[in-house]
Amino acid sequence: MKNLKLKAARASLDMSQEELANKIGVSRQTISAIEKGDYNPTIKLCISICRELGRTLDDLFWE
Amino acid sequence: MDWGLWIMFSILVVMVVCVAIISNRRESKAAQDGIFDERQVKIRGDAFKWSFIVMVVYYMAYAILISFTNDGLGAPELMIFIGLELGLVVCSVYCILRDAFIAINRSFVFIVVMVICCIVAQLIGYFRERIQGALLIEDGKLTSTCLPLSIAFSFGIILVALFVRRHYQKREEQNEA
Repeated sequence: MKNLKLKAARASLDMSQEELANKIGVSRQTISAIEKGDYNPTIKLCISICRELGRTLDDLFWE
Repeated sequence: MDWGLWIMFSILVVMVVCVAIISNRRESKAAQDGIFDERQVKIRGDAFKWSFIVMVVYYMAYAILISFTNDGLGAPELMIFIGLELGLVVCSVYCILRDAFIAINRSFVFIVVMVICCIVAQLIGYFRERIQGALLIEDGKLTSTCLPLSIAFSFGIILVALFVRRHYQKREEQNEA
């Protein structure tokens, strides 16, 4: 299932997948895979993404 | 030692030195930042599994073939190496197609140059043997002269996979932008 919340949060900060990936320390493809719903990240990576985007886990990863 | 071996040896030394220098520099940086990509690690694990399965199947099939025919398709060292190459190619291509081959902070160009160096070194070895009169097929069986050619072919597949993936990756980046 696509993670549109993550995509929207990233877009609202005018941040590209590449920029977010560089800040977190993963590849751009990993961010792309999470947004497409092709990959389920670990809680550690979820927290890193949330911190970088200034959102909570509930905001981005809870259905 | 003839010129061909000197060139191959020089390329090998240059590759080892480049890998040592660049790995030290990049790994120390990555270690400081604590960077690793969990998705890539997971995919590499899957790739190792599939390459292992392919190698086991290949060696089993080869053993069965020998036991039934009392004769292989080629020189034993060649057939053993082909099994290893199959594992390498399966593992590499699986990782490349799923964007797990090139780690974070690693350069695409560096990987491509290393692969090209390997292909060139193997082709030099192949042509050197051919110039010396070695045959590809003797008594209807492949000889060990095919070995450098098969290694070059394996790395050629990896190189093509790298460029194909790079092409699709650029397209994805354009769509994302």
